[in-house]
Formats: sequence, C-alpha cells, structure tokens
Amino acid sequence: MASIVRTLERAINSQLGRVGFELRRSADSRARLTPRARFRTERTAGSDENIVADAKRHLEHANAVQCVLPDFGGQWKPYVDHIRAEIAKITDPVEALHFAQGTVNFDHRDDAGVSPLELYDRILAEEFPQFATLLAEMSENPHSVSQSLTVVGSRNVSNIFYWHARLLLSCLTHVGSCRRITEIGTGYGALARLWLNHPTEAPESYCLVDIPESLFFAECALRQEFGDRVGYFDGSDPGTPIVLVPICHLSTLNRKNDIVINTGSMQEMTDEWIDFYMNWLDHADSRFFYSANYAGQPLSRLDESRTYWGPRPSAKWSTRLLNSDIPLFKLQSPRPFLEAIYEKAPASGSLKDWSANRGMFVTLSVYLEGLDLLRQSLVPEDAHTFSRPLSTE
Amino acid sequence: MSYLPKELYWVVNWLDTTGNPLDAAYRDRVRSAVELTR
Repeated sequence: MASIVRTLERAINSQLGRVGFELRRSADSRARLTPRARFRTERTAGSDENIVADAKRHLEHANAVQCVLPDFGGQWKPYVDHIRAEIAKITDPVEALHFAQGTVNFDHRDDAGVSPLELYDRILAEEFPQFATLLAEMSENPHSVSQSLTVVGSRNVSNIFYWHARLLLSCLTHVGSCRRITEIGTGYGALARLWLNHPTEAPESYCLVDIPESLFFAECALRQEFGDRVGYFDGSDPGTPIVLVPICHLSTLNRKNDIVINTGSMQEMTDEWIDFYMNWLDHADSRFFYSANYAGQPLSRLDESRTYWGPRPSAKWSTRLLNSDIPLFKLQSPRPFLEAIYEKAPASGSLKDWSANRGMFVTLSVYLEGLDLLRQSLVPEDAHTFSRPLSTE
Repeated sequence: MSYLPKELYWVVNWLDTTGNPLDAAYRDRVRSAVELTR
C-alpha cells in the first residue's frame, strides 16, 4: 500500500512540478503543496525500498574490504558503530535523510523559526552580487526535516542551504567552472546536490569520498533525486556522472578533477588522517583544493576538533585564497573558520613577507597568514620565527 | 592574539622531532593549555 501511495505521489508531483509546486510530506506525515525547486531532476530510480536496500548492500560490501587506513580514534569509532546499528532499522530514503540531518548531525541544522534566513539570503546576495539571480533559483532539498525549512523568495531554504550555497558560490567566484569535482567528507551529499542542480555549471563528474556509513546516507538522498546517474565505486569505476567512493577504494579512484573540496570535516579528523589525505592530494589529478574548516581555535576550547593543524597541504600547493572573515559563517558558528583555496603549483611564500614582521598586530587573520607561510616553507628556523610573536601575546 | 591557537601545539611537537625545540616554558604553556581540553 505504501509503495502505491508513493507511486501516486510521484505521478502527481511530476505534473505539479511543471507549474513549480510539489506535494511534500511534513513531520506529521501529512502531504502539503509546496513550491518546488526549479532544477529538480526527474527521478529515474527504482522504488524507495530498493534505494535503501542497495545502499545497505553497498555499505556491507565496502565494510568487508580489507584495507589499511588510519584508526578512527576513540572519538569516532563508537559513533560509527552506533550509526551502523541505526542504519539497519532504516527502510525509507526520507527516513535516512531525516536521521542524517537530525540525529547524526552531519550539519548544524537549525529550526527555521529561530534562523534569520532572510538575513542569510541578503548577506549572500550582497557578497556575491554576480550570482544573486542564481542564488534565488537554488533551493534546499524539499524532503529535508520540515522544521528546518521555510520559504524565502518562493523556494525552500534552511540555514544549512545558505551555508552550502556560500561554499558553491565561492568556488565559482574564485575558481570558475568546476566541471569535475571530488568531495572528501560528504556527509549525506547536501553540497553535492546543490552543485548537481546548478542550471548551467552542473559538474559532469562528481565523486563523493567518505566512510561507508556516511555514503549510505548520501546514496539514499542522491539516488532519490538523481536516480541512475548515481553509481557506487566497488573496486571499479561505475562510469556514472555521480560516484560514491568508500574510503577503502580511494587509492584506486582515477578520475581527473578541476577541484577537490573538503568542508567542515578535516577539522574533526586526527592528524594521521590529515597526513593520509594530504599525501593523497599530492598525487591526485586536481588543479585546485578548496577547504573550509576550523582554524586558529583556542587550545583551551577545541570542541569537535581532533587535528591540531589540518588541512595542511604540502609545499606542492600554492595559496590562492585565505579568508577567515566570512559574515555568514560567523553568524552560524562561534568557531573560527578558514576558507582556503590552493592550486597545485610549487609554493614560494616566505615568512619574511608575514605582516607580523612588518609590525602588524597578530589578529586571527594575520596569524593564519603566518601559519600558511610556514606551511609553504616548513623549516625549524621559520617555525621559531612564527612562534615568537605568539609567545608574547 | 588573546589566546594560544591550536596549530601551535602541532608546531611545538614538530619542532621537538627536529631537535630544535622551543624553550621549555613556552612548550609547557602550550601543552598545559591542551591538557585542559583533552
């Protein structure tokens, strides 16, 4: 009976979608007519039950692969075990999405009633005026936890939607066209979804790299929306535009990239995992690496941070952007963030050029500038030079 | 800065491995800040 209802809903939504609306289930399971994103891709997948069953099968196979990887650490291992046990109870892609958004806390999703969403909209439109029209056409996954959704400018939004939209708009602004993307630490695929729904710059290749438990949620969410365009890397490339890559198979992934993206996750990895990914980046076929992660946090308040310095690209990467002054991030998180873009070209920066050596006070941005210059030429003498001004504050 | 940022802990430990450590008082200050949260 449930599958018949869903089939009917899909048929109705197919027609409603032509006029910009859809039926969406809210938390009380009542279907409501809501505005629909303009760029939704029609589903081509099988039933919702098949999506979940396939995702569970992929999870099981990936976890059976023997590979040598850094330890998760005491913080993550019990959490991953817990998620795996909960996944066994999930039967529906929307249930998976809500579990990812509400229980796993892949993101800091707020109740729409307490989020200044119209303010977020204005802030992004002012930071990226060239993309104001595009922003107005982008929208949140309508199946998201209903309490986090509201309508601004005739489309569904959430606080997380704006967070991800900013990441995308920043990449487009600085890097330009990003037709081949690999994202590390993808959660349930929310950022990937925004990229893939872009009206003119949708990537032709998008690889999502994560632990199998996270990819379960990404597979459920993305296959529900993009159907058979989503494939699973099980040791060989499925050849689909969207590929879910369990971390155990990362070393055999062999796709060209315009950019590798990591946001909000390397900050929570151990230093061993940072070393692992930095080494992979050095060998990956990618021109750019985009990062938005905690940086410069007080040692006395590390919160979810595990690495003490990460990401930390090798000197094979030049710095093209360092930005720790992002209004939207500051409104949504009390923690200091660094947005950085690196290009694979030998680094040539020197601490001799550090603003602190020209008399500037060591603010967060000046500190991060010095840290990045040290990264580019990591020698003991420079490490002493870098540490000196910080010891007197 | 008004606080010791986390990357300093990495730098302190790395310098130890190179045989060119920071002075002991500085190292103790950084490490004791971490011990408050770990």
